[in-house]
Amino acid sequence: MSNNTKDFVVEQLKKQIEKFKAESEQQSFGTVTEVGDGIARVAGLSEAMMSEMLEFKSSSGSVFGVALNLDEDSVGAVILGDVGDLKEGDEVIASKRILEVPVGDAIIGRVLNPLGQAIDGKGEVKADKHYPVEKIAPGVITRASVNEPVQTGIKAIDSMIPIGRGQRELIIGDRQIGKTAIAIDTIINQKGQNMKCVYVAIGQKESKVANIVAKLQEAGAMDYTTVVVAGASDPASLLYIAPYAGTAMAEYFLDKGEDVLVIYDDLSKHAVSYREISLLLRRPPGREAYPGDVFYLHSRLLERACKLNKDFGGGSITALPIIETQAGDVSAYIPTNVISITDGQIYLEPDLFYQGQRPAVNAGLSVSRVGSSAQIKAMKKVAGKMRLEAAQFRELAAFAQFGSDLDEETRNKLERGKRLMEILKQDQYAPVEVTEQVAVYFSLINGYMDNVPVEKVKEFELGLRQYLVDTKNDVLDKIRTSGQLEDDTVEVLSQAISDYKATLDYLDREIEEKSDNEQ
Amino acid sequence: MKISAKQYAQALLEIIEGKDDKAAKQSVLDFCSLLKSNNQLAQTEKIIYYFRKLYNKRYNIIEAEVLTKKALSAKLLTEVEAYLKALDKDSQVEISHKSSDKIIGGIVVKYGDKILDNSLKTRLRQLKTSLLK
Repeated sequence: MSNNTKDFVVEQLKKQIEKFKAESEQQSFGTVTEVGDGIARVAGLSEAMMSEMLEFKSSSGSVFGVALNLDEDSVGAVILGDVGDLKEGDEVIASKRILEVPVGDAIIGRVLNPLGQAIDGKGEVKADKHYPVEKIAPGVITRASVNEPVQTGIKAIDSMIPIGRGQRELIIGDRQIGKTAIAIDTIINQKGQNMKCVYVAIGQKESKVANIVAKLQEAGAMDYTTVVVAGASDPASLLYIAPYAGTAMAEYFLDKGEDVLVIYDDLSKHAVSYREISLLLRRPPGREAYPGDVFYLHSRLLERACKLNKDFGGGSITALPIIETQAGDVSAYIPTNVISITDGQIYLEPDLFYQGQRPAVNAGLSVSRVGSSAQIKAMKKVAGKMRLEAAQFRELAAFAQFGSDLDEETRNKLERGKRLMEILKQDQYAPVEVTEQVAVYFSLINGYMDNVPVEKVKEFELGLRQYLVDTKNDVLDKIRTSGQLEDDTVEVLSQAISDYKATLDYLDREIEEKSDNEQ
Repeated sequence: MKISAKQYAQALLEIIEGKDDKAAKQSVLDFCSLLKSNNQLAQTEKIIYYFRKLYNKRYNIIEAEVLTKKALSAKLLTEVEAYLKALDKDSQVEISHKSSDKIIGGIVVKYGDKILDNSLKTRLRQLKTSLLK
């Protein structure tokens, strides 16, 4: 270490100290009159703003809080963090700033708490900007209709319940049924899709979050993902602001014209934490003891998901909120609220899950109200027929249980449906590329799978995809770039599937001959 | 109907309004016996708090608290008073003084629900955060 570097350090320090201007200005202050359960009541602070940051000065340092109730001569605030040794009579200073979080490219790949502080042990986040946690959603003038797809890589979703960029699609179902799995698979499949992801874990076990982060890292998904964690042991105030903080971080990328995917896992726990805060602040309870504004709680959050038009940067925020139902009860208060706010829902069913149909997506009850306009043309062409087949199968499957005397056509439909259900099964962490999906559905709806035994469908599908990638990559490329399924592509694709089938030995020859004779 | 501490304070203020010292004292005594008969003696502290507020507002008094490390010189005291007077011309200023080692140096002035923190402790903390940036 030479003298030179020492001088340099001293110079730098000098400069910084010179730059520091001591300013003292008049601040509003108040005193704590009541404290407990993460809530404080403060006297004074006559000029406090709604959701303003308040600095509570206790004997062992200061902690921040947010003003939530502005009463005649007191302010009700939630404390963000540990109440510690805060006591009656402690000083509170109004910061004159609305609650905000650090945003910027530096947050990518990090695990943060809802205040934007790093909790992954990789040092402080060096953010260039701060965004307010609560923000009014973009208005009508700035928006565009949803027209680009989000490829989840999950066959059942991409084909039948497509999601577009800027859409809000609810994932709903009982506990332990694969809701988070769908969200994580979607994040993993965003690699190279020009999409930033924000995963907001609300009230989850820290172990589960650690698992998810590890899985994302393994899949290389942390290169474009930020994880915001308000764990089960955090106070309700942090759980309450977590989704808003996550959205604020997403809005930074939105303002840069980028596409962002935000996952709120899950909003039922968020509503519960808000209920806790509201009851402690003595707001009157309503149905299921939730306060009167739980609807607004979620609607103002999900309205911030949007697709902006070209004049405003053309970015988008796609929201995938998750709701956990109790024993499949979708008519409870919070599920019905969120269903009515979102642009559709993915309904996961326990019965399907235990039958081995995983992901357990119930195609009948799941809908996507805007996503179909965002599907690529090739997918639209095959998926439309598929949805029809699936609907017919569901109808007939109920009938078929009464008797075996079915006419030929019905039997064929049932057989086709069985194979359809089979190809919708998918392992976790194994997203499928959209062009490969198109090829698989193409072979199904055109009857190429009719003579594949049901138990062999999975093997057939995997083999077909591998075969196409190995030998006919140019066709897949063509579908990918043009997004269309043109006549000549169709021809090459049919030929390729036939070629592939010629290499197999488990096909049901009887059916094959029969169909040959018919032709 | 339950009478709030604020309403009690307001009533007390209106009763003693315009009365001389002796009569006012009698009114306060009456007020206390009313509180006792209403079983509201527990509210006394709150009533005093609100009464001070209302009284100061009524007679335009600014109560200020000055916190320094050492005792304040008379010159400084008049300067602080002049500063507070400048904020609101018609007001009277009542300054109470406290000293504490905690602030290291400098001066902290509190008045109403405003605070002017010019202590060395706060300055050092601000310098620390700006250096860490």
